[in-house]
Amino acid sequence: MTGQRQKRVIEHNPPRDFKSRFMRWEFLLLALFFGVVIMNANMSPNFLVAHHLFTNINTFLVRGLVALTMTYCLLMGEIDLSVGSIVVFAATTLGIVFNATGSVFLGMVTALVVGGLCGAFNGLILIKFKELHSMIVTLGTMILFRGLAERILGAEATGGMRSVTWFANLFDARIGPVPYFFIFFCALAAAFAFVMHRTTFGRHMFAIGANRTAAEYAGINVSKTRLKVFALSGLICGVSAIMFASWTGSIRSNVGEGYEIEAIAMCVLGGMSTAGGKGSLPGVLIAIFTVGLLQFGMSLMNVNPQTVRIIIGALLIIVVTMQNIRRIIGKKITQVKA
Amino acid sequence: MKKIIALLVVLMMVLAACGPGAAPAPAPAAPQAPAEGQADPAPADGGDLTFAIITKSAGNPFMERMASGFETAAAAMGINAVVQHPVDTTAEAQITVINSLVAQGVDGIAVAANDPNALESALQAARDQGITIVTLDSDTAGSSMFVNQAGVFEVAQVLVDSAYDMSGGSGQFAVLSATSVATNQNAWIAAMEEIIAGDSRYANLEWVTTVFGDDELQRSFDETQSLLINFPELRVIVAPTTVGIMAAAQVVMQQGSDVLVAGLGLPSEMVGLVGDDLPCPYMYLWNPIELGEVAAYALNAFKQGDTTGDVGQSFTAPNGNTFTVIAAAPEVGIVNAQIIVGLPFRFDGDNIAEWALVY
Repeated sequence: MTGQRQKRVIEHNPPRDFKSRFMRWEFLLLALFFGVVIMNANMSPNFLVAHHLFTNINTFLVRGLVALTMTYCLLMGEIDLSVGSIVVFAATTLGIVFNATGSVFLGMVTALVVGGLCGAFNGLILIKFKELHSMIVTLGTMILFRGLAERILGAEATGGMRSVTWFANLFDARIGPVPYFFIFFCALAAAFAFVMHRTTFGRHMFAIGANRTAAEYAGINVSKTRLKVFALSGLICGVSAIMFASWTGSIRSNVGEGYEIEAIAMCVLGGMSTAGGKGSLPGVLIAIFTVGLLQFGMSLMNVNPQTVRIIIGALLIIVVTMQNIRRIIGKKITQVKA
Repeated sequence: MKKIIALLVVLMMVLAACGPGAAPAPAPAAPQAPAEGQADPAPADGGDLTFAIITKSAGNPFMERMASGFETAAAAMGINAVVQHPVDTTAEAQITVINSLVAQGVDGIAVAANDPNALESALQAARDQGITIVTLDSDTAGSSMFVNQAGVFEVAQVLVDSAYDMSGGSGQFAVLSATSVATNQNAWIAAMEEIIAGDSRYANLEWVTTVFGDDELQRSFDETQSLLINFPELRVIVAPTTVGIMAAAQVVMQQGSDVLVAGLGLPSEMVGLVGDDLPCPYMYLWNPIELGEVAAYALNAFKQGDTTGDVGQSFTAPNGNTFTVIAAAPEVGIVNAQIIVGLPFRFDGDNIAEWALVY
C-alpha cells in the first residue's frame, strides 16, 4: 500500500516500479504502432518503400520536435500553447535575416536565439507571477507571437533559403534512404529521454509535476527548472523553424498553426498526464510515429484528410478514457486487497 | 488479463477505424471510369492512368466544384481520378498530400497551390518520378503549366464591355478596386486602360477615378458613397473584386441611385443584387467546374504527347476547345507557361439563384 502511494508521488524511482509501468502503457502503444504498420503494409504496397516512407517521416518529425519539449512541459504539470507561434515567429526572423544579410547561417542563429528568448519570456512571466497558469500565459503569447509574425509578413511570404544547397540539405540529405534529419531527431530524442529518466534534472521535473509545493519544500529550485524548460521549449521551436525553412523554403504567417494541438495530442497518446508527474518519453516517441504513420498510410489509400482527423480524434479519446478506466480498475483492486 | 483485454480493444479499434475508411478508397477508382464513360465505349486508351487533384482546402465550395469538374472530365477520358482536400489551407498540408501521391505513383497531379514557392521541392520530386504537374487557380514554382481561369486580357475585356454596355456607350464610370498593391487588380486595371485607349468604340467613356476599398466591406461602402457624392454624373461603378462589387451594389440599392454596378462577384453574396432592375444587371466570375475540367484535359494532353508545355504550342481538348500555351506572367504571380480557360463566366438574373447554391 505504501509502495503504491509513493509511486504516485514520484514515479521516477525506484527503477523496478518504473519498469513495470513502462511495460504496461508503452507495451500497448507498441502494439498499436505495429498494428498500424502491419495494416498499412497490407493495405498499400507503396507503404514499405523506404524512400517514400522516410520522405513522409521527415515531414512529421518537423512537428514531432515540438512534442519532445511538450513532454517536459506536461511532465511538470505545465502546458505550452505558444509553440506553433514561436515556430512561425522564429522562422519569420530566419527568413528576414537571410534576405537582409544573405547569410542563412546568421538566419539560423537568429531563429534559435529568437525561439529561446520567446520561450524564456514565457518562463519569466510564469516565475514572476506564480499564480498564473501556464495555459493562460502561453495562450497570450501564442496570440502575441503569431501577431508579430503576421505584422511582419502581412499576406506575403519570406523565403528563398533553399537556394543555399547546404541549408536545403539539412532536410533533404540522406544516407541511403535514411535522412540525416531522422538520425538527428533520434539522437535528440535519446538525449531528451536520458535527461528525463536518468538525471537529477529529470527527477526534479517529475517532482514538480507531482506536487510543486512539496518539491519546493524539498529544496528543488522550482522557478529555475520551470524557466529552463520553457526556454528549452522555445529553443526547440527554433530548431523546428529551421527545419521547416529548410523543408519548404517559404515562410507564411500561417506556418506552425496547430503544432501545439498536435504536440499535446501526441504526448497524451504517449501516456503523459496533463496533471503532471507521470509519463515517459519513449511512450511519446512511439505515439509520434504511430500518429505520423497512421496519417501516411491513410493518405496512401486516399482516405481524405478530414476522415483521418476524425479517426485520430476518436483514437485519442478512446486511449485517454482507457487510461482512466485502467486506473479506476487498479484502485478497486488495491482497495479490495487492503 | 487486463493488459490483454486492453490490447485487444486497441487493436480492434484500429482495425475498425481503418477498415471502413480504407476499403472504399480503392473501390471507386476502378468502376468509376466505365460507369461515367457513357456514350463512348472506346476511351480505353486512357489505360491505367490516374490523375489527382489537390485543392487549397476542404470546405471551400469553389474548390469542391473545381474538383468535381476535374473528376468528370477525367472519367469521360477513361482516367481514374483522385481528389484530395488538404486539412489546412497551408503549403505544409499540401506537401504531405503530394508526398503520398508520389509514393502511390499517380501519373498526373493538378494542384491549386497554397504558396508560390513552398511546394517546389515536393513537386520536383514528383516530376523526377515522371509525374506530370499542372497548377490551377494559384500557380507555384515546380509545375509544368498553369491553367488560368482569369486571363488578364479576358477579364479586362469583359469589365470594359460591361462599363460600355451599362452606360449605354458613353458617360462616366469609376473603378472600385481592392488594394493599390494587389497585383491581379493592377494588371486588370492596366489592361482595361490599354483596351480603352486602343479602340475608338470606347472614346466616349470617361474613366473618372479609381478608388480602393482594401477588400473591406466598410471601406468599400465608404468609397462607394464618396463616389456617388463626388460624381453626380456617374453611370457605372466597375468593381473587379468580390467584396467591392457587393459593397457598391448594396450602397447603390440603399440610396436608390440609378448608377449601375459591374465587375467580378461571388454569386452567393450577390443574390438579390444581380438581375434586371437591380443595381447589378450582370457580373462575371470564373466557372470552377470548367477550370477543373481544363486541368484534367491539360494533364492528359501532356500524357498523350499533345503538348510539352512550351509556349506557342496548342492542343485540342475532348470538348472541342483548343488551348494555346502562352508565356508566364511573373508580375501577377504566374511563373509557369499558361493556358487560359476562356472568358469569365457571366451571371445574371436568370442563373444567379442556381449558382448561388454553388459558391
